[in-house]
Amino acid sequence: MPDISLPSQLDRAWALGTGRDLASRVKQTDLTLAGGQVEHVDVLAAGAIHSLRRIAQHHGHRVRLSAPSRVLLERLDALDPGPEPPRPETLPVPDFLERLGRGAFARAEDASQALTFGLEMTLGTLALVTRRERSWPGAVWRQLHELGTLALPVVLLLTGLIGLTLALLMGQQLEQYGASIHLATLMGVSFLREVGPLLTAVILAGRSGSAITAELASMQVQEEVDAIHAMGARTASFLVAPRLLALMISMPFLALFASGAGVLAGLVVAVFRLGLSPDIYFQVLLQALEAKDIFFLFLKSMVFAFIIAFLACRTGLATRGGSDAVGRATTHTVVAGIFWTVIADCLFALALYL
Amino acid sequence: MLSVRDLHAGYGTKEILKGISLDVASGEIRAILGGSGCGKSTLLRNILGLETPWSGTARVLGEDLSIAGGASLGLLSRIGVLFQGGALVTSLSVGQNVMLPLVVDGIDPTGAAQELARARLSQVGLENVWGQFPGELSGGMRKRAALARALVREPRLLFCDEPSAGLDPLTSRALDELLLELRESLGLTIVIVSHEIESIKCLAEKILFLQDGLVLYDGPLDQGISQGPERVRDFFERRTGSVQRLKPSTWEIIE
Repeated sequence: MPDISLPSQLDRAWALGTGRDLASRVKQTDLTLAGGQVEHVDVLAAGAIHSLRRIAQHHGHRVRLSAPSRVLLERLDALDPGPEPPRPETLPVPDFLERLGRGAFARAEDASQALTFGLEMTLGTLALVTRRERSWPGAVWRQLHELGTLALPVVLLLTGLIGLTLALLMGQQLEQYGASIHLATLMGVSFLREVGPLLTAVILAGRSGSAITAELASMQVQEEVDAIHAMGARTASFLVAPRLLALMISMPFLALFASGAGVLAGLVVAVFRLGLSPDIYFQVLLQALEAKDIFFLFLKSMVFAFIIAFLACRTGLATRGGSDAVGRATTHTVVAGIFWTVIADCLFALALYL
Repeated sequence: MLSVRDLHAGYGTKEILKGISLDVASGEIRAILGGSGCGKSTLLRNILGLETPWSGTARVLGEDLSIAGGASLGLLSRIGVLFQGGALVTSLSVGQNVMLPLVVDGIDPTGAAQELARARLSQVGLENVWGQFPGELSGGMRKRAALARALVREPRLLFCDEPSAGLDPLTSRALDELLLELRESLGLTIVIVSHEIESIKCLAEKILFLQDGLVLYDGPLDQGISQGPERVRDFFERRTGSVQRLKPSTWEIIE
């Protein structure tokens, strides 16, 4: 058994030099450390000696102290990491059927909770509208301003720019066939029926959905939701309903304005690129549009608003943990909001145009 | 006032409370204490109906708050809660926060609610922060504003979760004295969840000491300090416990 004599100063240099060399030696043999001369033990050196003992034990060897000085022993005892924690029990990997069953059960439970939340949200909103329950006075107006009015510039800008791009592409193709006049029809129909509501929903899922989730998640993490609950207010009517109402009221109008921006972008292309007169553009546009286009724009937008508000509020109020959980919840809302909005839009398209 | 019987509760599959019973009489100041993770806050959340217990009952002023459907507004208006961080709604001003319970009760925030809220803010020494927002206040001011909100309905029972947490000793002492004054002037019954020894010694008459989800001691504070179980005495004397103090060396020594 090799006997290593420890120096009087066990410092960082010893830990990174001799200590590291000894680590490979204790894998093959027992070791005795003679520590009678030790006067100072650096924290890293103490850690290295404990590490030597742990490595030796793993390889069926041992490390002992020979006549250690009081300083060495006290220092090692003070920094003793204790017994190695038990390794977590490795659970057997579930087979395919078991995983399928567990997944299905989890999905069913989640769907049931989502349904319950959706019902609570609807009832809470009805209770607020019928004044059976209360939120902070003016809460709906405040949310309308924040989720609707403040979103208008970005919605108009983005839909206007996308409208301009689409109009340029479509105008180029139509011009080749001498059908430039139909740009008005294409722009009007596509924006009012499809691009306007969908693009508005995608923008609001990113802007307003994330804002709702972040606010509610922060309130949840900081116990504000618990405080409101303990006062006797229902979160469904106090917190959720104003946001749902604000989104459902503002989104159809935002979608209408967005469609208008797209159509006006088409007008710019029609006049300056294709040489059409504005009168003819609007004449063809009005001939192509029907009253039901406006009706479905409103209907689709309200459904999209419900989806975004539902996901944003549910995710926000289900948040547990700290600031990282708030970030994850916000990301989830944006991704899920866009995903389910596109699914709903596809279902509308199948129902209306198939 | 408060009666808890054989309460079992936890999160997921982990049981935190393993059969807690507790009685709090009218006018009493009771401290629920114990080390970190012993189940103090879980007990409070279950009493307040913020979590649903696995089994057992927690009756507050004769009603069980955890029953599905929630407690009546009438009952909740007789209870005040001071949360650990204050839990003031950050989007509302201090004045609006204090009026919030009254608004939930259906009182118009432009009339009598303002007068009541101003009176409570004055009572906790915060006359000049009406229009400020919680983010603009210090930790101690936030706690006092939250206390004003908890008291605005003139409750009979006040729950305080770690009232001194995060406060400097002087602010903490001032808050303790304020709670004592309010108990006298309003005839409150107070239940405090805390592990701040000085605060408990200043406020509590009786204590409930929890360890690993079980009641280790339930009785008068003085008796707990002098004759209670060793763990309780260690806690008040800030000792880490006999087992750790006498831990032998694990090194194999050759002389």
